[in-house]
Amino acid sequence: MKKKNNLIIILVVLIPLISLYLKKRNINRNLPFVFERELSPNSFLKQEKIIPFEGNLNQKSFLINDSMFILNTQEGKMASFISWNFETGILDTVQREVDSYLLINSIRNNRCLYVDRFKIKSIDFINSSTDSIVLNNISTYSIFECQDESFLMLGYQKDANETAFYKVIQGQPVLLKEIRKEKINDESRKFINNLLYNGEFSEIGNYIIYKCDLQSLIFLFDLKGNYITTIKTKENVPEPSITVFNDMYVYTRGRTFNSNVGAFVCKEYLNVISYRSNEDRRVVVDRYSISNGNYVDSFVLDDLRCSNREINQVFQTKDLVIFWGKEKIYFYTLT
Amino acid sequence: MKAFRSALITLIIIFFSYTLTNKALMFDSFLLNIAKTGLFNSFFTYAIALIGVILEFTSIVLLVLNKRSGIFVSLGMMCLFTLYIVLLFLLGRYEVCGCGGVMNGLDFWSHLVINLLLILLLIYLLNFDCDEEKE
Repeated sequence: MKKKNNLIIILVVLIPLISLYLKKRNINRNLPFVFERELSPNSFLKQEKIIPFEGNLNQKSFLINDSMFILNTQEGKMASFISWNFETGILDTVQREVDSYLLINSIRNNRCLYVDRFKIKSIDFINSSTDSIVLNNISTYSIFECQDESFLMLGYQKDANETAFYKVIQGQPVLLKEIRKEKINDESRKFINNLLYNGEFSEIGNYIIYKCDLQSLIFLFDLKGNYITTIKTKENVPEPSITVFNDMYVYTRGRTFNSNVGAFVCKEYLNVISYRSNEDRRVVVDRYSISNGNYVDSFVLDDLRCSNREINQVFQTKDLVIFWGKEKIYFYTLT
Repeated sequence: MKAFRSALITLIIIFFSYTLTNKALMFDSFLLNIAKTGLFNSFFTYAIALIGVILEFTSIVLLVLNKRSGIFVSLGMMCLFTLYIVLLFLLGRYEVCGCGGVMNGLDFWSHLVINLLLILLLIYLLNFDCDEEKE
Protein backbone atom coordinates (compact mmCIF):
# COMPACT_ATOMS: atom_id res chain seq x y z
CA MET A 1 0.00 0.00 0.00
CA LYS A 2 2.80 2.35 1.02
CA LYS A 3 4.77 1.52 -2.15
CA LYS A 4 1.70 2.33 -4.25
CA ASN A 5 1.34 5.70 -2.50
CA ASN A 6 5.00 6.55 -3.13
CA LEU A 7 4.60 5.67 -6.80
CA ILE A 8 1.59 7.98 -7.09
CA ILE A 9 3.55 10.83 -5.42
CA ILE A 10 6.48 10.29 -7.78
CA LEU A 11 4.16 10.30 -10.82
CA VAL A 12 2.36 13.43 -9.61
CA VAL A 13 5.71 15.21 -9.33
CA LEU A 14 7.29 13.81 -12.51
CA ILE A 15 4.46 14.35 -15.02
CA PRO A 16 4.18 18.14 -14.52
CA LEU A 17 8.00 18.37 -14.50
CA ILE A 18 8.30 16.62 -17.87
CA SER A 19 5.53 18.73 -19.45
CA LEU A 20 7.08 21.94 -18.10
CA TYR A 21 10.50 20.90 -19.39
CA LEU A 22 9.05 20.38 -22.86
CA LYS A 23 7.42 23.82 -22.69
CA LYS A 24 10.72 25.38 -21.55
CA ARG A 25 12.56 23.84 -24.53
CA ASN A 26 9.95 25.29 -26.82
CA ILE A 27 10.22 28.76 -25.22
CA ASN A 28 14.03 28.75 -25.39
CA ARG A 29 14.01 27.84 -29.06
CA ASN A 30 11.63 30.64 -30.00
CA LEU A 31 12.16 34.08 -28.50
CA PRO A 32 8.74 35.68 -29.05
CA PHE A 33 8.25 38.11 -31.95
CA VAL A 34 11.39 37.10 -33.82
CA PHE A 35 10.61 37.45 -37.52
CA GLU A 36 12.01 35.72 -40.57
CA ARG A 37 14.78 37.79 -42.12
CA GLU A 38 16.08 38.01 -45.65
CA LEU A 39 19.84 38.02 -45.15
CA SER A 40 22.19 39.77 -47.55
CA PRO A 41 25.99 40.26 -47.32
CA ASN A 42 27.34 43.21 -45.33
CA SER A 43 28.57 45.80 -47.79
CA PHE A 44 27.55 48.77 -45.67
CA LEU A 45 29.73 48.82 -42.54
CA LYS A 46 33.46 48.33 -42.03
CA GLN A 47 34.96 47.85 -38.58
CA GLU A 48 37.66 50.40 -37.69
CA LYS A 49 38.56 49.78 -34.07
CA ILE A 50 37.39 48.35 -30.76
CA ILE A 51 38.04 50.10 -27.44
CA PRO A 52 37.42 48.55 -24.02
CA PHE A 53 35.21 50.76 -21.84
CA GLU A 54 34.18 49.69 -18.36
CA GLY A 55 31.48 52.25 -17.68
CA ASN A 56 27.99 51.80 -16.39
CA LEU A 57 26.23 50.56 -19.47
CA ASN A 58 22.72 51.14 -18.26
CA GLN A 59 22.83 54.90 -17.97
CA LYS A 60 21.98 57.47 -20.62
CA SER A 61 24.82 58.63 -22.78
CA PHE A 62 25.20 61.36 -25.37
CA LEU A 63 27.62 61.95 -28.18
CA ILE A 64 28.87 65.52 -28.45
CA ASN A 65 31.56 66.31 -31.01
CA ASP A 66 34.40 63.89 -30.22
CA SER A 67 33.24 63.11 -26.70
CA MET A 68 30.75 60.80 -25.13
CA PHE A 69 28.89 62.12 -22.08
CA ILE A 70 27.50 59.54 -19.74
CA LEU A 71 25.07 60.30 -16.96
CA ASN A 72 26.81 58.36 -14.24
CA THR A 73 25.31 58.88 -10.79
CA GLN A 74 22.98 61.20 -8.97
CA GLU A 75 23.14 61.80 -5.24
CA GLY A 76 20.49 64.20 -4.02
CA LYS A 77 20.54 67.16 -6.37
CA MET A 78 24.06 66.52 -7.60
CA ALA A 79 24.39 64.66 -10.90
CA SER A 80 27.70 63.35 -12.10
CA PHE A 81 28.64 62.93 -15.76
CA ILE A 82 31.60 61.15 -17.23
CA SER A 83 32.98 62.57 -20.44
CA TRP A 84 35.28 60.55 -22.60
CA ASN A 85 37.08 61.92 -25.61
CA PHE A 86 37.52 59.39 -28.40
CA GLU A 87 40.48 61.20 -29.98
CA THR A 88 42.56 62.00 -26.91
CA GLY A 89 41.27 59.16 -24.71
CA ILE A 90 40.87 61.64 -21.81
CA LEU A 91 38.36 60.60 -19.19
CA ASP A 92 36.83 63.41 -17.15
CA THR A 93 34.13 63.82 -14.51
CA VAL A 94 31.68 66.72 -14.53
CA GLN A 95 29.33 67.44 -11.63
CA ARG A 96 26.24 69.63 -11.89
CA GLU A 97 23.38 70.52 -9.59
CA VAL A 98 19.96 69.49 -10.95
CA ASP A 99 16.42 69.09 -9.66
CA SER A 100 15.50 65.90 -7.87
CA TYR A 101 13.57 64.12 -10.63
CA LEU A 102 16.21 64.00 -13.28
CA LEU A 103 15.65 62.48 -16.69
CA ILE A 104 18.11 64.05 -19.07
CA ASN A 105 16.85 63.96 -22.63
CA SER A 106 19.42 65.82 -24.66
CA ILE A 107 22.66 67.76 -24.42
CA ARG A 108 23.66 70.37 -27.00
CA ASN A 109 25.71 73.56 -26.95
CA ASN A 110 26.61 73.05 -23.29
CA ARG A 111 22.92 72.94 -22.42
CA CYS A 112 21.35 69.87 -20.93
CA LEU A 113 17.58 69.37 -21.28
CA TYR A 114 15.56 67.21 -18.96
CA VAL A 115 11.98 66.52 -17.98
CA ASP A 116 11.04 67.09 -14.36
CA ARG A 117 7.53 65.93 -13.46
CA PHE A 118 6.30 66.44 -17.06
CA LYS A 119 7.83 69.92 -17.28
CA ILE A 120 10.78 70.97 -19.44
CA LYS A 121 13.86 72.18 -17.61
CA SER A 122 17.35 73.00 -18.73
CA ILE A 123 20.72 73.53 -17.15
CA ASP A 124 23.69 75.35 -18.58
CA PHE A 125 26.91 73.39 -18.23
CA ILE A 126 29.08 76.50 -18.16
CA ASN A 127 27.41 78.72 -15.56
CA SER A 128 25.14 76.09 -13.92
CA SER A 129 22.06 78.29 -14.42
CA THR A 130 18.73 76.47 -14.63
CA ASP A 131 15.71 77.41 -16.69
CA SER A 132 12.12 76.17 -16.90
CA ILE A 133 9.87 76.22 -19.97
CA VAL A 134 6.15 76.31 -19.25
CA LEU A 135 3.75 74.91 -21.86
CA ASN A 136 0.07 75.36 -21.03
CA ASN A 137 -1.88 72.10 -20.81
CA ILE A 138 0.88 69.99 -22.32
CA SER A 139 2.66 67.37 -20.24
CA THR A 140 6.10 66.66 -21.62
CA TYR A 141 7.28 63.05 -21.85
CA SER A 142 10.50 63.49 -23.76
CA ILE A 143 12.39 66.43 -25.26
CA PHE A 144 15.22 67.02 -27.71
CA GLU A 145 16.96 70.18 -28.85
CA CYS A 146 17.09 70.64 -32.62
CA GLN A 147 19.86 72.29 -34.60
CA ASP A 148 17.90 75.54 -34.94
CA GLU A 149 17.55 75.76 -31.13
CA SER A 150 13.87 74.83 -31.25
CA PHE A 151 12.71 71.81 -29.25
CA LEU A 152 11.17 68.59 -30.46
CA MET A 153 8.98 66.96 -27.86
CA LEU A 154 6.62 64.10 -27.22
CA GLY A 155 3.80 65.15 -24.97
CA TYR A 156 0.18 64.87 -23.96
CA GLN A 157 -2.31 67.69 -24.38
CA LYS A 158 -4.97 67.41 -21.75
CA ASP A 159 -7.63 69.51 -23.52
CA ALA A 160 -7.49 67.46 -26.71
CA ASN A 161 -6.67 64.10 -25.02
CA GLU A 162 -3.94 63.87 -27.55
CA THR A 163 -0.49 62.27 -27.36
CA ALA A 164 1.62 63.82 -30.09
CA PHE A 165 4.97 65.16 -31.21
CA TYR A 166 5.26 68.93 -30.98
CA LYS A 167 7.87 71.40 -32.11
CA VAL A 168 8.41 74.16 -29.56
CA ILE A 169 9.51 77.42 -31.15
CA GLN A 170 10.19 80.27 -28.70
CA GLY A 171 8.00 78.65 -26.08
CA GLN A 172 5.06 77.99 -28.42
CA PRO A 173 4.15 74.38 -29.26
CA VAL A 174 3.24 73.43 -32.85
CA LEU A 175 1.60 70.05 -33.50
CA LEU A 176 3.75 67.85 -35.74
CA LYS A 177 2.37 64.32 -35.57
CA GLU A 178 -0.52 62.96 -33.55
CA ILE A 179 0.11 59.42 -32.37
CA ARG A 180 -2.83 58.75 -30.06
CA LYS A 181 -6.13 60.47 -29.44
CA GLU A 182 -8.56 59.29 -26.81
CA LYS A 183 -11.72 60.76 -25.39
CA ILE A 184 -10.93 59.58 -21.86
CA ASN A 185 -10.88 62.68 -19.68
CA ASP A 186 -8.65 61.18 -17.06
CA GLU A 187 -5.56 62.85 -15.63
CA SER A 188 -3.96 59.48 -14.98
CA ARG A 189 -3.96 58.79 -18.72
CA LYS A 190 -0.86 60.92 -19.17
CA PHE A 191 1.16 58.49 -17.05
CA ILE A 192 -0.08 55.53 -19.07
CA ASN A 193 0.65 57.19 -22.42
CA ASN A 194 4.09 58.12 -21.17
CA LEU A 195 4.78 54.47 -20.39
CA LEU A 196 3.20 53.22 -23.63
CA TYR A 197 5.44 55.40 -25.79
CA ASN A 198 8.49 55.27 -23.55
CA GLY A 199 11.59 55.83 -25.65
CA GLU A 200 14.24 58.34 -26.53
CA PHE A 201 15.24 60.89 -29.11
CA SER A 202 18.63 60.67 -30.74
CA GLU A 203 20.43 62.37 -33.56
CA ILE A 204 21.68 59.98 -36.25
CA GLY A 205 23.34 61.35 -39.37
CA ASN A 206 21.03 63.94 -40.87
CA TYR A 207 18.01 62.84 -38.89
CA ILE A 208 16.53 62.92 -35.42
CA ILE A 209 14.71 59.75 -34.46
CA TYR A 210 12.38 58.85 -31.63
CA LYS A 211 12.66 55.14 -30.93
CA CYS A 212 10.00 53.55 -28.73
CA ASP A 213 11.53 51.02 -26.34
CA LEU A 214 8.45 48.84 -26.06
CA GLN A 215 6.63 49.34 -29.34
CA SER A 216 7.70 48.65 -32.91
CA LEU A 217 7.75 52.32 -33.81
CA ILE A 218 10.51 54.67 -34.94
CA PHE A 219 9.59 58.28 -35.80
CA LEU A 220 11.89 60.22 -38.13
CA PHE A 221 12.45 63.98 -38.16
CA ASP A 222 14.96 66.21 -39.90
CA LEU A 223 17.57 68.12 -37.89
CA LYS A 224 15.25 71.13 -37.65
CA GLY A 225 12.57 68.96 -36.08
CA ASN A 226 10.22 68.61 -39.05
CA TYR A 227 8.37 65.30 -39.19
CA ILE A 228 9.36 62.97 -42.04
CA THR A 229 7.90 59.53 -41.53
CA THR A 230 7.05 56.70 -39.12
CA ILE A 231 8.60 53.29 -39.53
CA LYS A 232 6.82 50.31 -38.03
CA THR A 233 9.47 47.66 -37.58
CA LYS A 234 8.80 44.07 -38.51
CA GLU A 235 9.02 42.40 -35.08
CA ASN A 236 5.60 43.94 -34.39
CA VAL A 237 5.54 43.50 -30.60
CA PRO A 238 2.14 44.24 -29.04
CA GLU A 239 1.37 47.42 -27.15
CA PRO A 240 2.72 47.04 -23.59
CA SER A 241 0.28 46.07 -20.87
CA ILE A 242 0.19 48.38 -17.85
CA THR A 243 -1.32 47.64 -14.49
CA VAL A 244 -2.09 50.16 -11.76
CA PHE A 245 -1.31 49.39 -8.14
CA ASN A 246 -1.33 51.92 -5.28
CA ASP A 247 -1.11 54.84 -7.73
CA MET A 248 1.88 53.19 -9.32
CA TYR A 249 1.91 52.30 -12.99
CA VAL A 250 3.85 49.15 -13.76
CA TYR A 251 4.42 47.09 -16.87
CA THR A 252 2.74 43.72 -16.60
CA ARG A 253 5.30 40.96 -16.68
CA GLY A 254 5.16 38.56 -19.58
CA ARG A 255 2.95 40.96 -21.54
CA THR A 256 5.49 43.66 -22.29
CA PHE A 257 8.31 43.16 -24.76
CA ASN A 258 11.39 45.12 -25.76
CA SER A 259 11.39 46.10 -29.40
CA ASN A 260 14.43 47.89 -30.87
CA VAL A 261 17.83 48.65 -29.39
CA GLY A 262 18.94 51.46 -31.70
CA ALA A 263 19.24 52.65 -35.28
CA PHE A 264 21.50 54.41 -37.76
CA VAL A 265 21.06 55.79 -41.26
CA CYS A 266 22.89 54.66 -44.38
CA LYS A 267 21.90 56.35 -47.66
CA GLU A 268 18.10 56.11 -47.95
CA TYR A 269 17.75 53.32 -45.42
CA LEU A 270 17.14 53.23 -41.71
CA ASN A 271 19.23 50.42 -40.20
CA VAL A 272 17.65 49.04 -37.05
CA ILE A 273 19.16 46.81 -34.34
CA SER A 274 16.15 44.83 -33.18
CA TYR A 275 15.98 43.31 -29.71
CA ARG A 276 14.14 40.39 -31.30
CA SER A 277 16.97 38.25 -32.66
CA ASN A 278 17.94 34.69 -31.77
CA GLU A 279 21.57 35.14 -32.84
CA ASP A 280 23.86 34.90 -29.79
CA ARG A 281 27.28 35.63 -31.24
CA ARG A 282 26.69 38.23 -33.94
CA VAL A 283 24.61 41.33 -34.53
CA VAL A 284 21.84 41.36 -37.12
CA VAL A 285 20.89 44.71 -38.68
CA ASP A 286 17.51 45.18 -40.39
CA ARG A 287 17.17 47.72 -43.21
CA TYR A 288 14.00 49.76 -43.75
CA SER A 289 13.33 52.17 -46.59
CA ILE A 290 12.93 55.75 -45.36
CA SER A 291 10.81 56.65 -48.41
CA ASN A 292 8.08 54.03 -47.90
CA GLY A 293 8.81 52.56 -44.46
CA ASN A 294 8.99 48.97 -45.75
CA TYR A 295 11.39 46.28 -44.61
CA VAL A 296 14.10 45.73 -47.25
CA ASP A 297 16.51 43.08 -45.93
CA SER A 298 18.95 42.33 -43.12
CA PHE A 299 22.70 41.93 -42.88
CA VAL A 300 24.98 40.43 -40.24
CA LEU A 301 27.95 42.02 -38.48
CA ASP A 302 30.12 38.94 -37.95
CA ASP A 303 32.94 40.93 -36.35
CA LEU A 304 30.68 42.37 -33.63
CA ARG A 305 30.91 39.41 -31.30
CA CYS A 306 27.77 39.78 -29.23
CA SER A 307 24.02 39.47 -29.59
CA ASN A 308 21.62 42.29 -30.51
CA ARG A 309 20.35 42.28 -26.92
CA GLU A 310 23.84 43.00 -25.58
CA ILE A 311 24.17 46.24 -27.56
CA ASN A 312 23.53 49.07 -25.13
CA GLN A 313 23.61 52.14 -27.35
CA VAL A 314 24.00 52.98 -31.01
CA PHE A 315 25.42 56.36 -32.06
CA GLN A 316 26.04 57.91 -35.43
CA THR A 317 27.95 61.00 -36.48
CA LYS A 318 28.11 61.40 -40.26
CA ASP A 319 29.93 58.30 -41.57
CA LEU A 320 30.88 56.96 -38.17
CA VAL A 321 28.63 54.41 -36.46
CA ILE A 322 29.40 53.48 -32.87
CA PHE A 323 28.04 50.49 -31.00
CA TRP A 324 28.42 50.31 -27.26
CA GLY A 325 27.95 46.97 -25.58
CA LYS A 326 29.63 44.25 -23.53
CA GLU A 327 32.07 46.79 -22.03
CA LYS A 328 33.49 47.63 -25.44
CA ILE A 329 32.99 50.43 -27.95
CA TYR A 330 32.96 49.30 -31.56
CA PHE A 331 33.70 51.85 -34.27
CA TYR A 332 32.45 51.30 -37.81
CA THR A 333 32.53 53.45 -40.91
CA LEU A 334 29.86 53.50 -43.59
CA THR A 335 31.19 52.20 -46.88
CA MET B 1 15.93 9.09 14.22
CA LYS B 2 14.01 11.63 16.28
CA ALA B 3 17.07 13.86 16.29
CA PHE B 4 17.18 13.66 12.49
CA ARG B 5 13.51 14.65 12.32
CA SER B 6 14.12 17.59 14.68
CA ALA B 7 17.09 18.72 12.60
CA LEU B 8 14.99 18.66 9.42
CA ILE B 9 12.17 20.62 11.07
CA THR B 10 14.65 23.15 12.45
CA LEU B 11 16.05 23.66 8.95
CA ILE B 12 12.56 24.25 7.56
CA ILE B 13 11.79 26.71 10.40
CA ILE B 14 15.01 28.64 9.67
CA PHE B 15 14.21 28.73 5.95
CA PHE B 16 10.63 29.93 6.45
CA SER B 17 11.71 32.49 9.08
CA TYR B 18 14.34 33.87 6.72
CA THR B 19 11.92 34.34 3.81
CA LEU B 20 9.17 35.68 6.13
CA THR B 21 11.52 38.28 7.66
CA ASN B 22 12.58 39.41 4.21
CA LYS B 23 8.97 39.65 3.04
CA ALA B 24 8.04 41.70 6.11
CA LEU B 25 11.04 44.00 5.76
CA MET B 26 10.35 44.61 2.06
CA PHE B 27 6.60 44.23 2.05
CA ASP B 28 6.13 46.92 -0.62
CA SER B 29 8.36 45.17 -3.11
CA PHE B 30 6.63 41.86 -2.26
CA LEU B 31 3.27 43.50 -3.04
CA LEU B 32 4.58 45.02 -6.26
CA ASN B 33 5.89 41.65 -7.35
CA ILE B 34 2.37 40.20 -7.05
CA ALA B 35 0.78 43.25 -8.70
CA LYS B 36 3.11 42.98 -11.71
CA THR B 37 1.57 39.66 -12.67
CA GLY B 38 -1.46 41.68 -13.76
CA LEU B 39 -3.73 38.87 -12.53
CA PHE B 40 -5.12 40.61 -9.46
CA ASN B 41 -6.59 43.99 -8.61
CA SER B 42 -5.30 46.04 -5.65
CA PHE B 43 -7.60 44.33 -3.12
CA PHE B 44 -6.60 40.81 -4.11
CA THR B 45 -2.94 41.79 -4.27
CA TYR B 46 -3.10 42.81 -0.60
CA ALA B 47 -5.24 39.78 0.29
CA ILE B 48 -2.88 37.29 -1.35
CA ALA B 49 0.19 38.90 0.20
CA LEU B 50 -1.41 38.86 3.66
CA ILE B 51 -2.64 35.28 3.32
CA GLY B 52 0.86 34.23 2.26
CA VAL B 53 2.50 35.96 5.22
CA ILE B 54 -0.09 34.65 7.72
CA LEU B 55 0.23 31.09 6.38
CA GLU B 56 4.01 31.22 6.63
CA PHE B 57 3.85 32.65 10.16
CA THR B 58 1.33 29.99 11.24
CA SER B 59 3.52 27.24 9.78
CA ILE B 60 6.53 28.51 11.72
CA VAL B 61 4.61 28.76 15.02
CA LEU B 62 3.11 25.29 14.64
CA LEU B 63 6.44 23.78 13.61
CA VAL B 64 8.17 25.41 16.61
CA LEU B 65 5.51 23.93 18.89
CA ASN B 66 6.43 20.63 17.29
CA LYS B 67 2.88 19.99 16.12
CA ARG B 68 2.09 17.58 13.31
CA SER B 69 -0.39 20.15 12.07
CA GLY B 70 2.62 22.42 11.38
CA ILE B 71 3.83 19.96 8.76
CA PHE B 72 0.31 19.78 7.28
CA VAL B 73 -0.03 23.56 7.05
CA SER B 74 3.48 23.87 5.58
CA LEU B 75 2.76 21.15 3.03
CA GLY B 76 -0.52 22.79 2.02
CA MET B 77 1.14 26.19 1.76
CA MET B 78 4.03 24.86 -0.35
CA CYS B 79 1.62 23.01 -2.67
CA LEU B 80 -0.46 26.17 -3.15
CA PHE B 81 2.65 28.26 -3.73
CA THR B 82 4.07 25.75 -6.23
CA LEU B 83 0.74 25.72 -8.06
CA TYR B 84 0.87 29.54 -8.18
CA ILE B 85 4.36 29.72 -9.71
CA VAL B 86 3.53 26.94 -12.20
CA LEU B 87 0.40 28.85 -13.22
CA LEU B 88 2.44 32.05 -13.68
CA PHE B 89 4.97 30.15 -15.76
CA LEU B 90 2.31 28.59 -17.98
CA LEU B 91 0.64 31.98 -18.48
CA GLY B 92 4.02 33.47 -19.39
CA ARG B 93 3.99 35.79 -16.38
CA TYR B 94 6.83 34.36 -14.33
CA GLU B 95 9.92 36.52 -14.45
CA VAL B 96 11.97 36.11 -11.29
CA CYS B 97 11.28 35.05 -7.70
CA GLY B 98 10.29 37.71 -5.19
CA CYS B 99 10.34 35.56 -2.04
CA GLY B 100 12.92 37.79 -0.44
CA GLY B 101 16.61 37.70 0.49
CA VAL B 102 18.91 35.38 -1.43
CA MET B 103 15.84 33.75 -2.97
CA ASN B 104 15.10 36.94 -4.93
CA GLY B 105 15.87 36.67 -8.62
CA LEU B 106 15.62 32.86 -8.81
CA ASP B 107 14.55 31.62 -12.21
CA PHE B 108 11.50 29.40 -12.51
CA TRP B 109 13.34 26.06 -12.69
CA SER B 110 15.50 26.69 -9.63
CA HIS B 111 12.44 27.84 -7.73
CA LEU B 112 10.45 24.78 -8.78
CA VAL B 113 13.26 22.44 -7.68
CA ILE B 114 13.47 24.14 -4.25
CA ASN B 115 9.69 23.97 -3.82
CA LEU B 116 9.53 20.30 -4.83
CA LEU B 117 12.40 19.42 -2.51
CA LEU B 118 10.56 21.12 0.36
CA ILE B 119 7.32 19.31 -0.55
CA LEU B 120 9.11 15.94 -0.64
CA LEU B 121 10.79 16.73 2.66
CA LEU B 122 7.46 17.59 4.27
CA ILE B 123 5.84 14.40 2.85
CA TYR B 124 8.75 12.41 4.26
CA LEU B 125 8.27 14.04 7.69
CA LEU B 126 4.56 13.31 7.53
CA ASN B 127 5.21 9.62 6.70
CA PHE B 128 7.88 9.55 9.41
CA ASP B 129 5.27 10.69 11.95
CA CYS B 130 2.78 8.03 10.72
CA ASP B 131 5.39 5.29 11.13
CA GLU B 132 6.23 6.53 14.63
CA GLU B 133 2.55 6.43 15.58
CA LYS B 134 2.17 2.84 14.29
CA GLU B 135 5.20 1.72 16.31
